[in-house]
Amino acid sequence: MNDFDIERELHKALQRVEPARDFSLPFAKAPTKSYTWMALAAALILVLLTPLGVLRYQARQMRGEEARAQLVTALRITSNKLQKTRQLVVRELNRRNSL
Amino acid sequence: MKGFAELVRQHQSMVFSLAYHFLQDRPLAEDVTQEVFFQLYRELASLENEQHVRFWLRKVTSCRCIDAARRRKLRPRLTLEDIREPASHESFRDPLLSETLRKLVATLPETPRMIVVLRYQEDMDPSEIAETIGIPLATVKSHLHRSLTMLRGKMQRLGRETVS
Repeated sequence: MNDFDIERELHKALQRVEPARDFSLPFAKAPTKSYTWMALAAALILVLLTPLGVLRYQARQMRGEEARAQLVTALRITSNKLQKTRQLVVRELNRRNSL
Repeated sequence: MKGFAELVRQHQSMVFSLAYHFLQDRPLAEDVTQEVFFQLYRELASLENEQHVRFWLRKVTSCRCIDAARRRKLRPRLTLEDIREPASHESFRDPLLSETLRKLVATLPETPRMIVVLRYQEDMDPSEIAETIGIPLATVKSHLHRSLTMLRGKMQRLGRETVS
Protein backbone atom coordinates (compact mmCIF):
# COMPACT_ATOMS: atom_id res chain seq x y z
CA MET A 1 0.00 0.00 0.00
CA ASN A 2 2.99 2.26 0.56
CA ASP A 3 3.64 2.57 -3.17
CA PHE A 4 0.03 3.66 -3.74
CA ASP A 5 0.08 6.80 -5.89
CA ILE A 6 -3.12 8.60 -4.98
CA GLU A 7 -2.71 11.31 -7.63
CA ARG A 8 -2.23 8.85 -10.46
CA GLU A 9 -5.23 6.83 -9.29
CA LEU A 10 -7.37 9.98 -9.02
CA HIS A 11 -6.47 10.90 -12.61
CA LYS A 12 -7.64 7.44 -13.67
CA ALA A 13 -10.79 7.46 -11.54
CA LEU A 14 -11.86 10.94 -12.62
CA GLN A 15 -11.42 10.59 -16.36
CA ARG A 16 -14.07 12.32 -18.45
CA VAL A 17 -17.15 10.25 -19.25
CA GLU A 18 -19.48 10.71 -22.18
CA PRO A 19 -23.07 11.63 -21.32
CA ALA A 20 -25.79 9.21 -22.37
CA ARG A 21 -27.53 11.86 -24.46
CA ASP A 22 -26.45 14.64 -26.78
CA PHE A 23 -27.13 18.00 -25.14
CA SER A 24 -26.60 19.85 -28.43
CA LEU A 25 -29.81 18.44 -29.95
CA PRO A 26 -32.22 21.01 -28.41
CA PHE A 27 -30.03 23.73 -29.90
CA ALA A 28 -29.33 22.11 -33.26
CA LYS A 29 -32.16 23.93 -35.01
CA ALA A 30 -31.94 27.11 -32.99
CA PRO A 31 -31.01 30.09 -35.13
CA THR A 32 -27.52 31.38 -34.57
CA LYS A 33 -27.37 34.97 -33.52
CA SER A 34 -27.04 36.69 -36.86
CA TYR A 35 -28.35 39.83 -38.42
CA THR A 36 -28.37 38.35 -41.93
CA TRP A 37 -32.13 37.81 -41.99
CA MET A 38 -32.78 41.25 -40.61
CA ALA A 39 -30.51 42.78 -43.25
CA LEU A 40 -32.24 40.80 -46.01
CA ALA A 41 -35.68 41.89 -44.77
CA ALA A 42 -34.56 45.51 -44.65
CA ALA A 43 -33.18 45.26 -48.20
CA LEU A 44 -36.43 43.68 -49.41
CA ILE A 45 -38.51 46.44 -47.84
CA LEU A 46 -36.24 49.03 -49.43
CA VAL A 47 -36.56 47.37 -52.84
CA LEU A 48 -40.37 47.33 -52.52
CA LEU A 49 -40.70 50.88 -51.18
CA THR A 50 -38.33 52.59 -53.60
CA PRO A 51 -40.54 52.10 -56.73
CA LEU A 52 -43.59 53.16 -54.70
CA GLY A 53 -41.83 56.37 -53.77
CA VAL A 54 -40.78 56.97 -57.35
CA LEU A 55 -44.36 56.39 -58.58
CA ARG A 56 -45.77 58.78 -55.99
CA TYR A 57 -43.20 61.41 -56.99
CA GLN A 58 -44.07 60.99 -60.67
CA ALA A 59 -47.81 61.27 -59.95
CA ARG A 60 -47.22 64.50 -58.04
CA GLN A 61 -45.10 65.83 -60.90
CA MET A 62 -47.87 64.99 -63.41
CA ARG A 63 -50.51 66.69 -61.29
CA GLY A 64 -48.26 69.77 -61.14
CA GLU A 65 -47.80 69.77 -64.89
CA GLU A 66 -51.56 69.51 -65.45
CA ALA A 67 -52.25 72.38 -63.03
CA ARG A 68 -49.62 74.50 -64.80
CA ALA A 69 -51.16 73.77 -68.20
CA GLN A 70 -54.64 74.68 -66.91
CA LEU A 71 -53.29 77.93 -65.47
CA VAL A 72 -51.61 78.79 -68.78
CA THR A 73 -54.88 78.12 -70.66
CA ALA A 74 -56.84 80.23 -68.19
CA LEU A 75 -54.33 83.07 -68.54
CA ARG A 76 -54.50 82.80 -72.34
CA ILE A 77 -58.32 83.00 -72.31
CA THR A 78 -58.22 85.95 -69.94
CA SER A 79 -55.64 87.65 -72.10
CA ASN A 80 -57.78 87.12 -75.24
CA LYS A 81 -60.83 88.54 -73.53
CA LEU A 82 -58.89 91.57 -72.28
CA GLN A 83 -57.56 92.10 -75.80
CA LYS A 84 -61.06 92.02 -77.29
CA THR A 85 -62.36 94.39 -74.61
CA ARG A 86 -59.48 96.76 -75.28
CA GLN A 87 -60.21 96.70 -79.02
CA LEU A 88 -63.88 97.52 -78.34
CA VAL A 89 -62.92 100.41 -76.05
CA VAL A 90 -60.44 101.78 -78.62
CA ARG A 91 -63.00 101.45 -81.39
CA GLU A 92 -65.63 103.27 -79.28
CA LEU A 93 -63.19 106.08 -78.42
CA ASN A 94 -62.27 106.51 -82.10
CA ARG A 95 -65.95 106.67 -83.05
CA ARG A 96 -66.60 109.36 -80.41
CA ASN A 97 -63.60 111.38 -81.52
CA SER A 98 -64.73 111.28 -85.12
CA LEU A 99 -68.10 112.83 -84.19
CA MET B 1 -16.73 31.65 -32.55
CA LYS B 2 -18.34 28.29 -33.41
CA GLY B 3 -22.08 27.68 -33.72
CA PHE B 4 -23.87 27.04 -30.44
CA ALA B 5 -24.70 23.36 -31.11
CA GLU B 6 -21.05 22.73 -31.96
CA LEU B 7 -19.91 24.43 -28.74
CA VAL B 8 -22.26 22.18 -26.78
CA ARG B 9 -20.97 19.05 -28.55
CA GLN B 10 -17.38 20.13 -27.85
CA HIS B 11 -17.87 20.80 -24.12
CA GLN B 12 -20.69 18.47 -23.05
CA SER B 13 -18.31 15.72 -21.97
CA MET B 14 -16.39 18.15 -19.72
CA VAL B 15 -19.51 19.69 -18.17
CA PHE B 16 -21.28 16.37 -17.67
CA SER B 17 -18.18 14.70 -16.22
CA LEU B 18 -17.62 17.52 -13.72
CA ALA B 19 -21.23 17.22 -12.60
CA TYR B 20 -21.19 13.42 -12.57
CA HIS B 21 -17.92 13.04 -10.67
CA PHE B 22 -19.03 15.69 -8.21
CA LEU B 23 -22.61 14.53 -7.66
CA GLN B 24 -22.24 10.77 -8.32
CA ASP B 25 -25.79 10.88 -9.64
CA ARG B 26 -26.28 10.53 -13.39
CA PRO B 27 -29.82 12.00 -13.73
CA LEU B 28 -28.91 14.96 -11.50
CA ALA B 29 -25.66 15.47 -13.44
CA GLU B 30 -27.68 15.53 -16.68
CA ASP B 31 -30.06 18.12 -15.23
CA VAL B 32 -27.14 20.31 -14.16
CA THR B 33 -25.49 19.93 -17.59
CA GLN B 34 -28.71 20.98 -19.33
CA GLU B 35 -29.14 24.00 -17.04
CA VAL B 36 -25.54 25.07 -17.66
CA PHE B 37 -25.99 24.95 -21.44
CA PHE B 38 -29.29 26.85 -21.30
CA GLN B 39 -27.55 29.53 -19.27
CA LEU B 40 -24.71 29.54 -21.80
CA TYR B 41 -27.27 30.00 -24.60
CA ARG B 42 -28.63 33.11 -22.87
CA GLU B 43 -25.23 34.59 -22.08
CA LEU B 44 -23.18 33.57 -25.12
CA ALA B 45 -23.16 37.11 -26.52
CA SER B 46 -21.21 38.33 -23.49
CA LEU B 47 -18.44 35.75 -23.92
CA GLU B 48 -15.48 36.85 -26.00
CA ASN B 49 -13.79 33.69 -27.27
CA GLU B 50 -13.57 29.92 -26.82
CA GLN B 51 -11.14 30.14 -23.89
CA HIS B 52 -13.58 32.44 -22.16
CA VAL B 53 -16.38 29.95 -22.87
CA ARG B 54 -14.37 27.09 -21.33
CA PHE B 55 -13.56 29.17 -18.24
CA TRP B 56 -17.19 30.27 -17.94
CA LEU B 57 -18.48 26.68 -18.29
CA ARG B 58 -16.16 25.38 -15.56
CA LYS B 59 -17.10 28.24 -13.24
CA VAL B 60 -20.87 27.95 -13.75
CA THR B 61 -20.80 24.14 -13.61
CA SER B 62 -18.88 24.27 -10.31
CA CYS B 63 -21.38 26.72 -8.79
CA ARG B 64 -24.40 24.78 -10.01
CA CYS B 65 -23.00 21.45 -8.78
CA ILE B 66 -22.33 22.86 -5.31
CA ASP B 67 -25.86 24.35 -5.25
CA ALA B 68 -27.38 21.05 -6.40
CA ALA B 69 -25.44 19.09 -3.78
CA ARG B 70 -26.52 21.48 -1.03
CA ARG B 71 -30.14 21.32 -2.16
CA ARG B 72 -30.28 17.56 -2.19
CA LYS B 73 -27.94 17.10 0.72
CA LEU B 74 -26.12 14.42 -1.22
CA ARG B 75 -23.06 14.13 0.98
CA PRO B 76 -24.64 12.38 3.99
CA ARG B 77 -25.96 9.66 1.67
CA LEU B 78 -22.47 8.22 1.24
CA THR B 79 -20.32 7.17 4.16
CA LEU B 80 -17.13 5.21 4.37
CA GLU B 81 -19.12 2.21 5.57
CA ASP B 82 -21.22 2.22 2.38
CA ILE B 83 -18.20 1.73 0.19
CA ARG B 84 -17.47 -1.76 -1.01
CA GLU B 85 -13.93 -2.72 -0.11
CA PRO B 86 -11.44 -4.10 -2.62
CA ALA B 87 -11.10 -7.88 -2.31
CA SER B 88 -7.32 -7.90 -1.83
CA HIS B 89 -4.19 -5.79 -2.10
CA GLU B 90 -3.80 -6.83 -5.73
CA SER B 91 -7.29 -5.64 -6.51
CA PHE B 92 -6.07 -2.02 -6.19
CA ARG B 93 -5.15 -2.37 -9.84
CA ASP B 94 -8.62 -3.42 -10.91
CA PRO B 95 -11.56 -1.18 -11.89
CA LEU B 96 -12.98 -1.49 -8.37
CA LEU B 97 -10.22 0.78 -7.17
CA SER B 98 -11.43 3.66 -9.34
CA GLU B 99 -15.00 3.10 -8.22
CA THR B 100 -13.92 3.07 -4.56
CA LEU B 101 -11.89 6.22 -5.06
CA ARG B 102 -14.79 8.00 -6.81
CA LYS B 103 -17.06 7.12 -3.91
CA LEU B 104 -14.48 8.35 -1.41
CA VAL B 105 -14.21 11.62 -3.33
CA ALA B 106 -18.01 11.91 -3.07
CA THR B 107 -17.72 11.90 0.73
CA LEU B 108 -15.61 15.08 0.72
CA PRO B 109 -17.34 18.36 1.60
CA GLU B 110 -18.52 20.40 -1.43
CA THR B 111 -15.64 22.84 -1.95
CA PRO B 112 -12.73 20.38 -1.51
CA ARG B 113 -14.64 17.86 -3.63
CA MET B 114 -14.97 20.34 -6.49
CA ILE B 115 -11.29 21.23 -6.15
CA VAL B 116 -10.29 17.55 -6.40
CA VAL B 117 -12.56 17.00 -9.43
CA LEU B 118 -11.21 20.09 -11.23
CA ARG B 119 -7.63 19.12 -10.39
CA TYR B 120 -7.77 15.50 -11.49
CA GLN B 121 -10.49 15.47 -14.14
CA GLU B 122 -9.55 18.70 -15.87
CA ASP B 123 -5.87 18.65 -14.91
CA MET B 124 -6.11 22.27 -13.77
CA ASP B 125 -3.40 23.78 -11.61
CA PRO B 126 -4.32 25.30 -8.23
CA SER B 127 -4.18 28.90 -9.50
CA GLU B 128 -6.67 28.10 -12.29
CA ILE B 129 -8.93 26.37 -9.77
CA ALA B 130 -8.74 29.37 -7.43
CA GLU B 131 -9.76 31.69 -10.27
CA THR B 132 -12.54 29.37 -11.43
CA ILE B 133 -14.28 28.90 -8.12
CA GLY B 134 -13.32 32.28 -6.70
CA ILE B 135 -11.40 31.36 -3.57
CA PRO B 136 -7.82 32.21 -2.51
CA LEU B 137 -4.98 30.12 -3.91
CA ALA B 138 -3.78 29.22 -0.41
CA THR B 139 -7.24 27.82 0.40
CA VAL B 140 -7.19 25.68 -2.74
CA LYS B 141 -3.75 24.29 -1.88
CA SER B 142 -4.79 23.62 1.68
CA HIS B 143 -8.01 21.83 0.62
CA LEU B 144 -6.07 19.77 -1.93
CA HIS B 145 -3.43 18.76 0.59
CA ARG B 146 -5.97 17.80 3.24
CA SER B 147 -8.17 15.94 0.74
CA LEU B 148 -5.26 13.91 -0.62
CA THR B 149 -4.08 13.06 2.89
CA MET B 150 -7.58 11.98 3.84
CA LEU B 151 -8.14 9.95 0.66
CA ARG B 152 -4.74 8.26 0.95
CA GLY B 153 -5.41 7.44 4.59
CA LYS B 154 -8.81 5.95 3.86
CA MET B 155 -7.49 3.90 0.96
CA GLN B 156 -4.65 2.58 3.11
CA ARG B 157 -7.08 1.79 5.93
CA LEU B 158 -9.31 -0.09 3.50
CA GLY B 159 -6.28 -1.96 2.15
CA ARG B 160 -5.00 -2.93 5.63
CA GLU B 161 -8.44 -4.10 6.73
CA THR B 162 -8.76 -6.18 3.58
CA VAL B 163 -5.33 -7.78 3.95
CA SER B 164 -5.85 -8.61 7.63
